[in-house]
Amino acid sequence: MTPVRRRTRAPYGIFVAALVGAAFLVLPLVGLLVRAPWRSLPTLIGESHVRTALRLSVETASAATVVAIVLGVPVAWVLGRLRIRGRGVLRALITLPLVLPPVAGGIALLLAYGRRGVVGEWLLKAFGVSLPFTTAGVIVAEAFVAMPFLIIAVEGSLRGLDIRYDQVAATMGASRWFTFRHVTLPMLAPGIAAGAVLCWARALGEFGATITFAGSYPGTTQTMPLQVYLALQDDPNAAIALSLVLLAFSVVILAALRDRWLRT
Amino acid sequence: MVAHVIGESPLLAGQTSLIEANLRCVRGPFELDVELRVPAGGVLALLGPNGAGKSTALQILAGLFGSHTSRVMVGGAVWDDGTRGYRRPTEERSVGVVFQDYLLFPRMNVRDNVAFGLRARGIDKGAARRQADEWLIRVGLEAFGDRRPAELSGGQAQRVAIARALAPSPQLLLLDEPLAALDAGTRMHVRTDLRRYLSGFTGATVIVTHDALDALVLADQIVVVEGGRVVQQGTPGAVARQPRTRYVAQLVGVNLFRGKAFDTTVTLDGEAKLTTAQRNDGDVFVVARPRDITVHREHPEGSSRNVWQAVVTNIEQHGDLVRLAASGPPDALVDVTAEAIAELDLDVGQHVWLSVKATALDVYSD
Repeated sequence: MTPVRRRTRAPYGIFVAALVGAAFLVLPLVGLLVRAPWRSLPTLIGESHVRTALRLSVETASAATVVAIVLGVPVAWVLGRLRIRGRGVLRALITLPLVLPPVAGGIALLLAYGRRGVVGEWLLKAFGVSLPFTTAGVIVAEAFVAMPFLIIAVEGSLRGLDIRYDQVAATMGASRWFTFRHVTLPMLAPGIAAGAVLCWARALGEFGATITFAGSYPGTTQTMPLQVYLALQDDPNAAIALSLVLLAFSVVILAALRDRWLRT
Repeated sequence: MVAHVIGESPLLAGQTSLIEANLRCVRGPFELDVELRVPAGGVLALLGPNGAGKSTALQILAGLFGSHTSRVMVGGAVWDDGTRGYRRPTEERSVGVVFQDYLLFPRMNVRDNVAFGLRARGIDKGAARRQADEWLIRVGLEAFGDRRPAELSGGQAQRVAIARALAPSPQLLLLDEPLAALDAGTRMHVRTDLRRYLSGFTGATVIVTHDALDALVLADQIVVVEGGRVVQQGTPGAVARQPRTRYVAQLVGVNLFRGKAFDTTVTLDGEAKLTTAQRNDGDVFVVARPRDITVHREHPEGSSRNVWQAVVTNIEQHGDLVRLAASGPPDALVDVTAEAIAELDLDVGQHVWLSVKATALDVYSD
């Protein structure tokens, strides 16, 4: 209202509560940094089983992200652009993995894609493909949990796109596919990128669905989060070191997303 | 009745129409029923207030709005046939559209924007880009091919939008309020440029606008639409001279003078001279709004740079507005209030002095 810059004066109670809240979120990270075995860190990370788990994590999370982009962008397009009946129900079902406890998700995956599963039995008979307890199973579990993040992000930016760009393209003789490839997709790129980063981060940290559906076999299904959990039982220092690595990844991801989220 | 008026127009007599359209639709309580005929190379302006149905008419022509009762024929081919329920999809119509806010593709550079229509129709990338560059030269933006649309001024973006619409050589060019997004200062220059591009276009053009000046300067035929109906049509001169409704009178009724400009002086065809605020050179036309002209009984003393003697030839009332026609030279339409008529004791045959400020005159190079 007034040209003078207004300053909000926080009530004392809120200010204190906010301090406590922020400390609650930050202190565990500080603890991780304080107690980290900095000296033995290079050796711990250099160990072959750690490197194997790290590589497996990065590879499966990346593959799950690719799966999520290939399958998720069309889903987002249908949700965001088509006026079909039951779209609300479809969106609710598709985003369910977002709120479903990952362990329950893992059980559901077993019942669908397991050797006796609704689809899995057929996959096994027809193609001899079995997903549970394989690296492919890890990718399936991660994609299942992480894809809704991408769908929601892409659908959001799709809704922000002016539909009239499609009309302009049509007036110039562009087919729907040509328009999607040359107009819609480039304009969606930032949204897809942000959704992919988010999806990748979620896939990297996936624990519950992965251990339920794919187990924890070193080299094939034992990803970083599983190894952190196992390491905590007999070598807490290794668990701390591995957690630090995951924290470093998170910081990088946050930096990548800063333009989208941290700009106020 | 509509066809009758068209038959009267000397401009269209004996010309075959490239576009013949009967645009109808019902949207809730709103009903549109407009008939258009445009010859090849012709420019028709659909002029009307907001909500008159102009944009709907344009969307039907572009195939962007499904109308079940319209009939559109272009170059002998059927684009819409309500009786058969046929609608040719937008992407199969030979049409170019310049939208009000241009809608240049933000993630493509200017060259690729202009090349888009050619690429979409299967021309390979290299050839499409070469043609796009030729179009950019034509609109004076050859140096801007690598820029992003966001880096352009409003006037430049509009020229790119026109080049993009014209590049695939459409049969029908549609302009939706082409100058509305520009500020008043650039609007005049862009309007003049637009006139030049349109004169080189061999297809039919339909301009939708609520700005009478756009219609007068750009079109050779004006169709005035109010409430979904055609209330008047004819050449710009005819519509400006004899407005049939109050809306037309207020908007279209302007004084349009042709002449030769030198510096700030414009010598009109009837040898009278007008002083303008801007400097110009060559053939121009000068626009004076009737409300900007003042009537006096005696030679006025004041700041107006243009003062001349005239005889009142007609007095017409449009609502609370009274329009005088005065014979000069130059002849002029003047809007006054009913009180002024009584106070000045004005009547047909009366000698009066007219005055208009130089700053109230708009000048367009012809």
